[in-house]
Amino acid sequence: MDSVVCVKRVPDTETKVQVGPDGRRIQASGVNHVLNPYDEYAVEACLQAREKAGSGEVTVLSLGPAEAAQTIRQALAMGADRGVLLKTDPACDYYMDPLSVAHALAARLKTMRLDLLWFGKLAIDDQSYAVGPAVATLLGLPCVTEVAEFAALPGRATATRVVEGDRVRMEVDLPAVFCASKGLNEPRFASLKGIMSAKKKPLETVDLAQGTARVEVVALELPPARQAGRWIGKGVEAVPELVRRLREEAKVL
Amino acid sequence: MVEWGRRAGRSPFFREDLMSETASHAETRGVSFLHPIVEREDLFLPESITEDDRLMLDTAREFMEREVLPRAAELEADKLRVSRELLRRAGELGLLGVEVPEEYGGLGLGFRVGMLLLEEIAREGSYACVQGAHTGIGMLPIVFFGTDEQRRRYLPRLVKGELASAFALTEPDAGSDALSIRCKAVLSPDGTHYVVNGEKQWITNAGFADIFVLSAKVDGEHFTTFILERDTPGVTLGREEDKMGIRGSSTRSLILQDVRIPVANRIGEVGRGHKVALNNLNIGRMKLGFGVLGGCRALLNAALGFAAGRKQFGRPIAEFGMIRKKFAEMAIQTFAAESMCYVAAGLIDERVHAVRARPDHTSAEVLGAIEEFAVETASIKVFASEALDYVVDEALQVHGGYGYMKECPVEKAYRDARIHRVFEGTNEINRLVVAGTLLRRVLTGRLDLGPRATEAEASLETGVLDHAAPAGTGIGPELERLERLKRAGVYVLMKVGQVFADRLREEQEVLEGLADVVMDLEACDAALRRVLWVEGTPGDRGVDLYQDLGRGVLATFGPRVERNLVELLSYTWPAMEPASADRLARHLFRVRSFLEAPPVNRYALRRRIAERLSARGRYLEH
Ligand SMILES: Cc1cc2nc3c(=O)[nH]c(=O)nc-3n(C[C@H](O)[C@H](O)[C@H](O)COP(=O)(O)OP(=O)(O)OC[C@H]3O[C@@H](n4cnc5c(N)ncnc54)[C@H](O)[C@@H]3O)c2cc1C
Repeated sequence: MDSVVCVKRVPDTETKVQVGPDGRRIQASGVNHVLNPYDEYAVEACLQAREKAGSGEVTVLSLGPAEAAQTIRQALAMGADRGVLLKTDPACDYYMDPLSVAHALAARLKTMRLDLLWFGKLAIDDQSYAVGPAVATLLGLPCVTEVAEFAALPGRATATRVVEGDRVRMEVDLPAVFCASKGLNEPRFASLKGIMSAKKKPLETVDLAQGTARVEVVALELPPARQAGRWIGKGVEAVPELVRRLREEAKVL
Repeated sequence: MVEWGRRAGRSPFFREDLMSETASHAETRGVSFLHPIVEREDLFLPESITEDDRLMLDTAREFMEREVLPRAAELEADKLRVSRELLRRAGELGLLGVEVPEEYGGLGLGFRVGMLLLEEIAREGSYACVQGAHTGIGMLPIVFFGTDEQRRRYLPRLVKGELASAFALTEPDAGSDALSIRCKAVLSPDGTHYVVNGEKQWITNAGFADIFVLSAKVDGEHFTTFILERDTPGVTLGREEDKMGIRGSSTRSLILQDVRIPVANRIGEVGRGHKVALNNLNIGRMKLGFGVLGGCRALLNAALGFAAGRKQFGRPIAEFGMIRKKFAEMAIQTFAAESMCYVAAGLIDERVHAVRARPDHTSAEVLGAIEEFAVETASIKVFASEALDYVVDEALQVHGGYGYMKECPVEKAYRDARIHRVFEGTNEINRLVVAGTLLRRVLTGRLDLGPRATEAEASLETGVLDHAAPAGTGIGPELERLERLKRAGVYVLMKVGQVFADRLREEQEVLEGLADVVMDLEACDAALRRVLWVEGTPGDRGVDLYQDLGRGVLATFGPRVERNLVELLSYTWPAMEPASADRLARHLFRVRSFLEAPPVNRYALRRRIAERLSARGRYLEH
């Protein structure tokens, strides 16, 4: 059972992000980067599939700056076998829209042997939900998104999607694309031995040619600060006033 | 004369004579902080850790956040079972064998990584003691002093967490005076066993440990160390102690009645056991220091978070000046302790590494490398544990009444913190170690402070420091002030040494004063080295905050050094022979004017620090 898992280097949710001086990107300094949490589920799914099948390789593929090598190492430390980094040009500072990313990944993926191709369902920084399905389309592979349960059999896999109000179980022929949702599994954390052996695992770096921007970010703004709560009154007597304010001030009714 | 050298792009300082000293790492020396600062690129700091170190820290953090912190209450309620489970899990992750050689199942990594991970582990006080006693005082004697057979027999299972260990030295009548233990071992007539009788007290992990590293005296005279297996007949445990803090760690006494320990389980030679026990403590103290740092960080972050959300008088309390002052002071204490721990651990690691790199090295040489830093390890233990108590006290104060409630984690942290000033040698005993070791080394010539003392005396005489402030650093005045404090410190140290050489035992307050001077100088030295490193290293870490923290450290501990020096001299002066008393009186005046510095605007400094911390929402990260 060979799998490829695509991972992204994203800012840690715990860092307070600030808008950079150009007003179009977040301030890079003081920001910690991590392996996208949804991708962690995807990595874990690949590792479990390999363990269950008893053979196969897990390859980690990432598109990003040179520092993304560290993100790949994190997945290697969890137990993946090899890594490939499609390195973006540091001078290239345009926004790569999901389809451009998908094209770049797909070009490389076409050359790789795989049964399972995993993504996180979204990257927590730009939240486009798009790269996985776009790659599946470009490769002409079946795709299941929002996967909350998964089991691979030889040549086939079952995946359960959790959608509003119900669960849908699906079966799909392999190779296929899967996008992990939260709760799919409990991603393992790297043992110290794993971290040390990750250093010795192969990591190939490919320079990515600069493309042209198709979608442009024009402005980045922080959401308005939450306003402090207010006491309107207590008990039933306060309800009419609450309703009036919700209607007239907050305009939510 | 201090000569300032150059490093690419900037102009800080190298001193040729010290450069050659550090050229060979096997020669990395202890107590280097009394010398002028030598700027180095390969300093071990929270800011200079490698990406791999960071991944390992992540593992330790995940382990704590997912598996230990959520079970803190369960650990208190059912400590024996939960301690074992957690140790086993830590073993699986590789956390228990970081410094153990690979051939015995460990990772064979340097000293630094092991220390670093303790910062995370320390976030839960009880578990930190469980793991600390197991991997530190419990396991290290076997690592360093065990025979190959003992190592093979015990280490792989200890590293995996399958076996748990404890260290049994203290007895009801032998606490600080550990060499006075009464536990007695007598060789059996057939020469195969020792028969041991005695009582040990307050042994961490005793409730579930499988092996005890036990100190006893052969024939009631010769201090010796043994490995005692729990299920040996004649071993009984006392009840669990009802403690103020670290209530999730097991602490019990151990009663030994005609316990037979095979000769093969003796560690080292008969009569050499005090070496095992004391050297063990050198490392234990360093480990305690790092452990404490994790607590300081977590508490400061908790206080920052709480104060941002808690409103009184219509404003978040984080906006009040007195609360902001607390943030700044807590950060200064943390920064000082942190810098001290890291810089010293880096130096020790360097020397130990150089020794280990030689194929024919012995454990004794490794221990010698660590012993070279006995002053540093003891001072770290004292300084860091006192910094923690300062920080935990103020963190509770920021939380107000909520901080006093059991539901608030600071309440528990407050109780857990206090033990650090007591065990691994009380802070009094460690102060004696700091000053005693230093003076002994000076008096026996092992540490040659002669040229430094001459230089100090000359500059005190003239009042001139004769060094140009280096260009390109934002902490020029602090560097100059520290150099002045160091010279005055060395001068006083030498005088006190001369006057009291033969009766230091009866001059404990003098030793305490000297220890405080030495610790504060070490803290200032490490903090400023760290600022220089950050200034000189590319990257966007927010140099301003580092500079202000460095200034804050000097502004906090500099005056304490000065006060102690003046007190020491005032006491020493009348004890001098009449002929030179005069000179000393002159010097007392000179010392004061030599140390006179322009006043520091501490209010503004603290406000700047506090504002940056509030804006970040947390203290510095690795
Ligand atoms: C929770 C806990 C866990 C422990 N775990 C272990 C363990 O795992 N293994 C183990 O062997 N021990 C352990 N100990 C024992 C610990 O190391 C001792 O408590 C410590 O060394 C101090 O000894 P003492 O309590 O007998 O105090 P004492 O030695 O009686 O000291 C009382 C006071 O006198 C001061 N004092 C003593 N001598 C001097 C002196 N010469 N000059 C100036 N002041 C002095 C001390 O600093 C202290 O303030 C533990 C203790 C506790 C509380």
